Amino acid sequence: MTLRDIFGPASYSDSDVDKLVYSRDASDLEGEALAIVWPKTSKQLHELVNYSKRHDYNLVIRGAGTNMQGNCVPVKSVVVDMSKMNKVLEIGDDYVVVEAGAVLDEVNALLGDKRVPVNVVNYKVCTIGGMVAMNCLSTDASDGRIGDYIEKMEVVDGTGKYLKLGHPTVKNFIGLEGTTGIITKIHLKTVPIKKFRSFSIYKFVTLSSMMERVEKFRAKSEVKSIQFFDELSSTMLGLDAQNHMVVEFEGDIGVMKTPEEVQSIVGMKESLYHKLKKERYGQFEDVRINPDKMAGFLHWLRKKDVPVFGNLCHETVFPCFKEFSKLPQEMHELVMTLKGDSAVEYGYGLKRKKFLQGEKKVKYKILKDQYNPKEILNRGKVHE
Amino acid sequence: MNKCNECGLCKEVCPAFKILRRESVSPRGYAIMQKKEVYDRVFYFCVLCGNCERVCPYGIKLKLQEFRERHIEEGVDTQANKEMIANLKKNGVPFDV
Repeated sequence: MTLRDIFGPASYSDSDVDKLVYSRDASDLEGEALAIVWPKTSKQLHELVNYSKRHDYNLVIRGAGTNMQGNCVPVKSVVVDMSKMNKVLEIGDDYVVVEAGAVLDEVNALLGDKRVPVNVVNYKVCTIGGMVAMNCLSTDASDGRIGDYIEKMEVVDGTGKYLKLGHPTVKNFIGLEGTTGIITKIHLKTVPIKKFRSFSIYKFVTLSSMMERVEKFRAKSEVKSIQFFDELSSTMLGLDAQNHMVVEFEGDIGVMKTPEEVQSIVGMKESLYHKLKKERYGQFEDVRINPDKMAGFLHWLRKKDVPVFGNLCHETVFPCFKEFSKLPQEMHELVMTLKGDSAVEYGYGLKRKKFLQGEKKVKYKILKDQYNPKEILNRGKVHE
Repeated sequence: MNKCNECGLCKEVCPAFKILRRESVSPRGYAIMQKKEVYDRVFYFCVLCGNCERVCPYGIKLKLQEFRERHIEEGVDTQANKEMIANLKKNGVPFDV
C-alpha cells in the first residue's frame, strides 16, 4: 500500500512542479514537499495518518495557503491540500455544516440572507477549515472569533483517531494551527446579513485624544467596528498624514451610507495590505494591548517609523515591518512589559514560534502530547 | 514576476483552478514557477481569460501566451495541440473529419 493507492493517481502527486508550488505559502518562506495529496473523504485522512505513523512521514495541512507565518510551508512533509473537501453539506435556519476546504465567500453565496458570522480580509479565498485552525478574528468588531460560533466538529487527530466533537473538547482543535488534528467537518452558527451599515472617518492630531474618543465609541451599541490607521498607513491610503479612525455603524448614523460610499471604504481597507507589501513591508505583527496602554504603544511605533493599523474595538493592532527587521523582537519585549498579547490573529506558524511562551505554551504542549504525540501533523510548527 | 507576493487572490477568479482546485494550475502557481524559471505543460490549463490580471493588486501579467509560444518553438507541446495543428493543416479545421 502506498500513498498513491490510498488517494488514487488523480489525487496524489510527486511531480516536481507540484512539489515546487506547494513548498510555499504567503509567508515568503520556502520548504520541501515530498508529495501532495487531495483527500476527498475522512476515511482517506484516517488511512493517511496511520500510513504516516508507520512510515514516519509528517503532514502539513493546507487550506488556501494564505498563512503569513509559514504554517502551510512543508518541512520535508506530505502536503494535505483540503481544497477538494469543499462541500456545503447542510444549511439550516441558523446553522451551516461544511467540509473544511469550503471557501468562505462560496459558503456565504449559498446562505441567502444569512452569513458565516466572521469576515476576513481574504474572504474570497480563505477556507473555513483554515479560519478555524487559526481561530480567525472577524474584521467586524461585533462578530468576535470564528471559534465562538462552532457547535460541533469532526477531526482526524494525530494518532489517526476519527473524533466527533462537541463542547468543550472542540476547543482543543480551534486555533491550534493544525497541530492537534485535521479538521474535516464543521457545524457553524449563522447570523442574518447586516441590513444597513454606514461609516464615518475621523482624524486626530494626537493619539491620546483619539483613544479618549475610542472609549466613547465603544460604549455605543450601534458602533460595529473602529478601524485605526496611523499617519504612515493613512498616507498610503491617500488620506492626510494624520491618525484616522474609520467607524462602522449599524444603521444610517454614519456620514458615508450609499452603497458606492460603503464599497469605497471597504475597498480602501482591503487595499492597505497590498499597498504595504508593495512598499516592501513583509512582516505583519498582531498584538493586543490594553486600551490604557495603547496610546503609549502607538507612540513607540511612530518613533520607530513603523506603519500600523488595527481594530480598536478588539484592542488589536497590526504593526508592519520590513523583512529582516530586528524591531519585531524589541516590540514583543515591549508588548510583554505592557502585559499585552502577541500573535492574536496570524498565529505562530514557523516564523514566530519563539514568541509562544508562558501558560499558552504549556497548554499547547499538553494538547499536542495528547492528540499528536509523534508530531505527524504540522511538525516543527507553533512550538518546538 | 518577483513582485508577486503570493497572496492568492487570483485563485478566486481563475476558472481552471475553480474546477481543478490545484495550486499548480492557479495563477499563483504559475507565478511561482516563473519566478523559478520553471516552464511546464501545466501552463496549457490556463484559458487566457485574463481575470487574474484584473484582480492582481500588483498588476502582474503572467504572459502565459508567450510561454506557450516559447514552448512550441522549443518543440514542447501537448498531444492535443499537435493533433489540432495537424488537422488544421490537413482539413482546415481542428477536427479529424
